[in-house]
Amino acid sequence: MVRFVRTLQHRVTPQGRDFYALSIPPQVAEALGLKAGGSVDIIVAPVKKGKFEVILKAASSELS
Amino acid sequence: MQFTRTLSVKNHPTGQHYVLSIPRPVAEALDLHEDEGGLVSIFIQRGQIKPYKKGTVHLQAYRETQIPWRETFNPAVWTDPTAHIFKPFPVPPNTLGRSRPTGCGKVFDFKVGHRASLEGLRFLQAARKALKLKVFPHGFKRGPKRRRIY
Repeated sequence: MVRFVRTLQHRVTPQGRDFYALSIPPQVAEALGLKAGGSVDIIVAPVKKGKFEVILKAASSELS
Repeated sequence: MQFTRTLSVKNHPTGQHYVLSIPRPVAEALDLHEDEGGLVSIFIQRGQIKPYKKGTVHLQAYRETQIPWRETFNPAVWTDPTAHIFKPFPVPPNTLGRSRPTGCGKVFDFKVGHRASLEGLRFLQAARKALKLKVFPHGFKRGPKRRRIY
């Protein structure tokens, strides 16, 4: 396992909506097979009571 | 829950920068939806042939993962003999600059370790000097006593 640490940026849009953005290291983009960018599936699955697992995957359309 | 977002790429003179928009429920699942966001640990698998395995990437709040730490010299050892010579010191994560992995648990950095050893040595030398002045206020001469010739 290799770990990278990045800051989840939070800002509020002029419409009053929350916007979150995460900077992704190039090594992670390479691991996702998306060096040129593309769609990513973000899956949130419950693990324990009140705990969630967040997984990023290249979207199935990107893989085919 | 499943969301689909676009991983956008920006070409900078320093290299390619990737940004992913995160939906609010995901930020809530990471428990980072309040205040100004927060630190996130991104885990990827290391491959056997290629450095990084193709597949899934896990996200977790930084505070819920193992915080990297290293040992530093403990100056309290001089006043309290029961104290440990080295104490754990948390290493701040590198979120800026060149993209490098962050360690888990006890980490070793040769440069930082060498600097800490020198600091400890300097502290001990200063403490020894202070003690010497306290015990021998009028000076202390090294070596065997000179024989008096009558």
